[in-house]
Amino acid sequence: MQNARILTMILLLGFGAADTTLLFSVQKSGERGTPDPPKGNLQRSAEILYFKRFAESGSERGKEIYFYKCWVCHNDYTRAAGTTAPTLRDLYKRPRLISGQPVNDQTVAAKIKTGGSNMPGYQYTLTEQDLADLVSFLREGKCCWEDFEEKEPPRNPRYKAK
Amino acid sequence: MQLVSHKNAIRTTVYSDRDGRYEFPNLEAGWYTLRVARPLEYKPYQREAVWIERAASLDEIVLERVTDSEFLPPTPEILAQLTDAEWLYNLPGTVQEKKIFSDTCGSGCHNYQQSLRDRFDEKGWSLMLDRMTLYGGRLVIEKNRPGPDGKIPMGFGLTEENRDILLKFLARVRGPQSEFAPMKPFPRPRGAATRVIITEYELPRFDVRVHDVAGDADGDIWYTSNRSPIIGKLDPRTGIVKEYQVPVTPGKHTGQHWLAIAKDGKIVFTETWSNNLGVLDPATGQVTKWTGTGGNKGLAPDGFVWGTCDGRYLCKFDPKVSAEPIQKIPLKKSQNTYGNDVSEDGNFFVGGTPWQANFDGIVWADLRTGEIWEVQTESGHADPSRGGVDPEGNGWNGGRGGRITEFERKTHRVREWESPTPFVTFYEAKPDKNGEIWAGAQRGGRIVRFNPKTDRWIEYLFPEPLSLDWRTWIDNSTNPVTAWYGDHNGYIVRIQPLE
Repeated sequence: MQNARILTMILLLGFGAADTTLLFSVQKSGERGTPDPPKGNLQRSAEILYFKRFAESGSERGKEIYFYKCWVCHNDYTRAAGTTAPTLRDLYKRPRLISGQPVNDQTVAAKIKTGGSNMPGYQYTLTEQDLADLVSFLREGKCCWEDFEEKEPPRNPRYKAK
Repeated sequence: MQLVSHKNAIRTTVYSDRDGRYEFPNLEAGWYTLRVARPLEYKPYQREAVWIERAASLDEIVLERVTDSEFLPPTPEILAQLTDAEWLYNLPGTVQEKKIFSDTCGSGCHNYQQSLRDRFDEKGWSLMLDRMTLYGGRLVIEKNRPGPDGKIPMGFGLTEENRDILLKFLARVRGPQSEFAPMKPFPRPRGAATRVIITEYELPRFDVRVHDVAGDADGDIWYTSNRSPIIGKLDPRTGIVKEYQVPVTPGKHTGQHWLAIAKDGKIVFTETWSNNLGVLDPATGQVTKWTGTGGNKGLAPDGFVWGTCDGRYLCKFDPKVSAEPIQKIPLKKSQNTYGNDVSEDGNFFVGGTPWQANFDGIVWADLRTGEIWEVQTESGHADPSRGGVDPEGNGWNGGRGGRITEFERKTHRVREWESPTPFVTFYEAKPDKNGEIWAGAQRGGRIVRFNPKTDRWIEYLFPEPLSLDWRTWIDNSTNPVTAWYGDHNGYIVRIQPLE
């Protein structure tokens, strides 16, 4: 296995490097306060690609999946403009799906997987974990984006400038 | 290599030279996380806490390769580090199929990965294509209006023949049983492309979808949010963001588009989905909105706003009064330009017309005389969109067809240059004070700096594989110039070349 070697050096740009005392500092001094490293995966693209900006799992992650995968056809604006996709707001308060089946995690997940005449089936796109998180978002009644998040977008916990 | 400040989360990235050496600029003393951004063929490296104070050198780092092969295993970690263009480059398929995909799915407002991570059968992909091409705008809310033949026209200039090619391509390479093959990344930056400092600033909220950025006289960077009622101001010295609320238009999705800073310091902007022209007074936070015109505009130094309107005019607006045009100059070929930019001296206008079936062209105007030129591009496939005017009055545009175009003022010719990296798209281009052209290479994880005098491209690679850059703003007060953009994915990026 070939390894890559990276020589590291931190210098002040525009500062006379030859006159600069090179320091290597380690985490010892009490004057320096406590390190507070940023949380999560610092490769933003991974969090975005795998819907993990809001949460690692659960309904908060389901919210992000909903936003990317469902919102485009199921939002109030496009329905007002004539799109036939139903709103998913209060889905679990309804007695039945449009198909006539009862509303529960199994039937909702099955609908997402198989799609319909105007809806692609997501069985090859979403993992079981994706589906579970998405279903929990719908079940917990947190849908829909335009009710709250559009006007008050989720806070970014990494933003810490004061 | 990247340092992430524990104090304000600002990320500073520099690039190693051919000997593996790198240098960070002078940073505020404090705790930082040291990491390799996009390690790709190497295993991730991250040191959680490093104290940085004045000049210091750190221990040598030895990175271990993931594989001896030049083809990287398509693990979730590696796939997430590859750019859209690298994904597309590595998929099976013909260049024709991939270019049709790029021209169609890279013309709009999402990255390729948003599509290519999915797998559908042919029916599923057909439904997706219908949704994305038969509905208008970035939010694909409303169905396109029927044409004279009664059919719903497809967006992005997509033809029936190309739709069929695209559908078969997607159903084959991202069908139910498809898998990613080992991937070959594009080359790492070399030479001048490594002599740059990239700084990324966190924003207070997710999903604001940053659109335009522009700097004010105090050195602050203003940004519009394309999907929320917030205009923000970033202080690059501290990373602190101040948010300004834009009143919501009932029944319309929130979000702005274009932004410019007037001489009196007021922020002139448009709203995308509610079609408004607005002015924000930073001193009071008060917003005035006029209904009737949105999209891209150009602000002249006299405070008037220019853009095309009513399908066949170049129009002048007074944002202090209304969104009604106060002057209309007829156009002959263009049915509205997408970009609308005015030179810094206010003398010239340039705009591009993407996706217009009978005119893939540039509109350039001398605003002093009303002289207008509407010139077709060389290829007919540039899809020129937003741009700017260089110090000599030449008009430049970024093309969604992966090209940068120039309208040459003296000859009235249009020339175009194709990106050296395949499958990137340009939404905009911005000339600097030296006549060099900066453009966000969307879907390539980079910004390009093109010198038309030497035909030299420098591609500055970002620490993230993302580059949904809708507007580059150039700070001409520095030497070399400094470029800024706000990424669609929710952070602001500063590019400081060292030469």
